[in-house]
Amino acid sequence: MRFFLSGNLLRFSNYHREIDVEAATIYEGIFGLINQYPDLRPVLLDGDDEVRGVHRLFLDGQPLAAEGLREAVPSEADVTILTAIAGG
Amino acid sequence: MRTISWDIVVDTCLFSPLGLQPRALFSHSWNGLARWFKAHVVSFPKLLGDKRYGMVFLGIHLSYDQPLGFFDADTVRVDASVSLLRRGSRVRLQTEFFAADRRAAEMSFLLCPVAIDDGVSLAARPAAFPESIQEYFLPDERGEQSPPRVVPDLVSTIAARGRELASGSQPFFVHRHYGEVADQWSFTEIPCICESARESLALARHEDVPVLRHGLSKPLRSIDVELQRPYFVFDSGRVDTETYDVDGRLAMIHKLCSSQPGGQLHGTVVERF
Repeated sequence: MRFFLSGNLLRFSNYHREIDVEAATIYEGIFGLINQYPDLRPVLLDGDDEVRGVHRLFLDGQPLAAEGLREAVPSEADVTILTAIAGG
Repeated sequence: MRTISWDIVVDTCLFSPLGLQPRALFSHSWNGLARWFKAHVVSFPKLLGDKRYGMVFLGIHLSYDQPLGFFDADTVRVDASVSLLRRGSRVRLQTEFFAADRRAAEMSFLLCPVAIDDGVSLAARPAAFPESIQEYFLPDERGEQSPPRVVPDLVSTIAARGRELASGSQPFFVHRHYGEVADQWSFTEIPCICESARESLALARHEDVPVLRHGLSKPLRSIDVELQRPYFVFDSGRVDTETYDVDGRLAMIHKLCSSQPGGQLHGTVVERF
């Protein structure tokens, strides 16, 4: 799958916007992202390794509910992660 | 209600030939909130770092009184006051700018407190201030009322009463100099982004739509902003502008948009001349 990052996430991915990851589910793919860019871990995941609620995920442009994280997705899926707001 | 006051020493960048720059008023007002919080609650760095709360903008209003020119005064006094609304789930900042023995402009801001979820990216979610922060406010600074939404009615009135003149679209890119500490765009850039769209449209079309020239030659009377969602650094945005003649005065409605998933509208800005 291909992850699309933007905004305040970019400085944790060394400014890479599009990152390809081999994974069966989006949750698994997030760990693939973190393997490539470890600085993303505290930003994307909480202490229980759950995706922080401040991020909005989209699968092929459609909003993804939390339960969809662990469902199988096609290998060519596009996954966008957006931060809703930041405390500025 | 407690007010904090200070003087800005006038420099040339505070003004355009038409008056006080709106961006400067946005920026000094925001600094007023930082000053007020430092004096009466906690400093901004400690609010974000220790208390793990921040604030984001929902609405902004700026109106000018009598035009103030660069040569009219050596200093501009700013008065700023802050209060809580809706049991701490909204914050109101009000600022006034005085110079040459008169008020030059006033602003009000509606903000939403946010709880910072992670201290690294400063990603956050809306949340009322906890009592440990609310207790710093005096009783008359703590209200329960819900603030009205001004911009939708304003847009409807302009569209209903006005004669549509011209429309245009202008792209922009959120470079880091547009942003703030969380790599989110800074609201202080809103008047600049809209001014760019307005001036580009007016310069392109004023020969066949002369009233558009007001957007170049007349001082602004007011700006009203309603924000739905922020931009972040390196986002691409677009301003879609509609212009109206309302009883001989120019009004502009700017829609701040993007092509991101999750909604294209980031905010609406109304400029009136």
